[in-house]
Amino acid sequence: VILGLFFLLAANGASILGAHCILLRIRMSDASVNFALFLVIRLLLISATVIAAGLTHCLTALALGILGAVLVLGFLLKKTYVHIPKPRLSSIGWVAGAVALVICIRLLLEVWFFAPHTTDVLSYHLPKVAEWVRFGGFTRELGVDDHATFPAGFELIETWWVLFLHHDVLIEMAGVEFLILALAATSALAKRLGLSQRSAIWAGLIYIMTPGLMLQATSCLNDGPVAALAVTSFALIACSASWPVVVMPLALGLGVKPTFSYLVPGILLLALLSRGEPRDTIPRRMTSYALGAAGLLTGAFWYLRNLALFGNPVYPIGERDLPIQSEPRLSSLLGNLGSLINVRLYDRGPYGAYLDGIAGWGGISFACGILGLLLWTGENAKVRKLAAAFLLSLAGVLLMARGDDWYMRFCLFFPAILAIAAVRLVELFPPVLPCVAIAFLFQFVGTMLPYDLPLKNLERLAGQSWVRRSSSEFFGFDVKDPAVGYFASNRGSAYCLYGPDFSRRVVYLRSGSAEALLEDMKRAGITTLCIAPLADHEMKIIEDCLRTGKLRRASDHVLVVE
Amino acid sequence: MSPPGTVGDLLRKLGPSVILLGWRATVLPATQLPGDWVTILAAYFLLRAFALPRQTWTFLTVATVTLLLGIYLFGQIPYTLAILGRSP
Repeated sequence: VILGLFFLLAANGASILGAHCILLRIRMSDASVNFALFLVIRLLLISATVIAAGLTHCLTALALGILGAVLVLGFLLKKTYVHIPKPRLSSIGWVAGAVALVICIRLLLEVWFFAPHTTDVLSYHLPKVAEWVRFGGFTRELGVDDHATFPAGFELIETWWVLFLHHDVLIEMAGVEFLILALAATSALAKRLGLSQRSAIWAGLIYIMTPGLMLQATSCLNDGPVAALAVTSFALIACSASWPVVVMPLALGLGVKPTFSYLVPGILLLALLSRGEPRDTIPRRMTSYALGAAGLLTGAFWYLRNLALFGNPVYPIGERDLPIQSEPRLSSLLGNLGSLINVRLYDRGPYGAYLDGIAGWGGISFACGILGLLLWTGENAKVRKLAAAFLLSLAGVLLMARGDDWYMRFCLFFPAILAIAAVRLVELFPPVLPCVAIAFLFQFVGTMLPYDLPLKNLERLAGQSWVRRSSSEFFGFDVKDPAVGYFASNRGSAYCLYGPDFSRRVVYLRSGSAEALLEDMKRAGITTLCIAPLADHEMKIIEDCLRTGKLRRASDHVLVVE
Repeated sequence: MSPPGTVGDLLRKLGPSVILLGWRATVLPATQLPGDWVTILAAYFLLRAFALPRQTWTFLTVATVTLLLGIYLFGQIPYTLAILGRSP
């Protein structure tokens, strides 16, 4: 653990100093956006490093830790660190500073005590991370879920946070990084719209306290990161960043989740409306082009991989019958818009990262943000342009998303402009402040626990030692063997089987008959089989094994060879 | 654009709010209108068409925000209490 911690610090130190070094070459005249730019560069460096290490099978703590230590040494010798700006509390105000500190402490506690527990995460986001970490590189085995081949840009950052300790106790830090990016980008956008530095920070704080976004940050889901990268794209365009620099968050967003493409029309509209404004001139033009190219390659990596392996960049869309809408539908736009206006905005349902049946935009957006935005657009052309761009992106999502219970998690970028407008409303009408404060406090308390991690489950997680902390007992996967088989039709909690320290080998079985299943288990040297919800023909295979006495049920989801 | 103070100007200012109010009155039962955020904001902007003193504006804005926040919290608090292990 000590060596892992050293490698973790070294690698993160290298990525921070490296991102800072690059930022010095391309920093913008508008200082408020430089912090967001720094964070995106760091995320790009980490993503590109993990992809390169994964492809070359050097995805180990030792390799990346030593590389990080050498780079840190180089940066220290070059004295790069002396240019790092010192944060000044006076510029953000002590109240905002104190609130940021409390949020920071809370997030760190959540990172420490939470364990991955949401269905999608356990079924297809993290099993591939576990395979990569165990194997020390990218693998063909991604699990049995039909979403497993989707782009995994966010999983690269999660891999970074588990690799060095060979443990997932810090895995939620990946989401927290994107939350900080969301704060920085919103603040930059607010400053660009004319708010003071202090007000801009408050806009950022209010945005990250959006219930949907805050709960996504520690859920290991990737919709929060998509929102953060979308707001960053808007901010960079609004702050007149050069085009290669703008490409970076756009490409990273597409690499995190294809739903990012739904937002692109709005981002392009803002670019179109801003085309007359002079773009930022960068002394090191080559650096910005190199960053844009690196961003494109990193974001496109998953699509190129799928094209090479399956002949379809968005595999399995178009080939399997997935519950995903892949073309624009006017009926979806009208239905989703009606649902948003009449039902979702009220948030009449439990807060959770999936936003089941709710918008998750929170009370500040609902009570102050919409009103503030309507008032502001009437008097400021810059705000009108930005609002039009945000609305077009929102329309893009509503047009492309199937009207299920969860489509609002693709719209988490929108509260950014509502948060800025809420702060502006307070500036315009100071007596509104108590309402904003009450709503902020309520959102802080209300987002402490998602509905799918109720208090009793959190107590169970907190009662475990950090080394063994896992949600596996919630799903009936209490196994001791060092290797287990996993048999499932599609969705299931496969990630739990690896253990928080990735010490257990998981063999994904795709056998077509009872005999083949037993043979596959024997060949893999496993005597324990874990099962998730099964389709009829797969259930019959298990029933055949049980009837012939070859397998015995140890619990609902665990079977053992007799 | 019509000059300020003319009927055309008043119609331009009132038009969107009147249309929104008419739409909500058509699609929602009368009992739901007071709790409907679109109706509340449309009513706010309807009043905005009239030149009221600054103090009145501040009062109306605070009242609108308070009403909207009350509607939001009334709907959300029971769920939050349930998650935190407390019955509403």
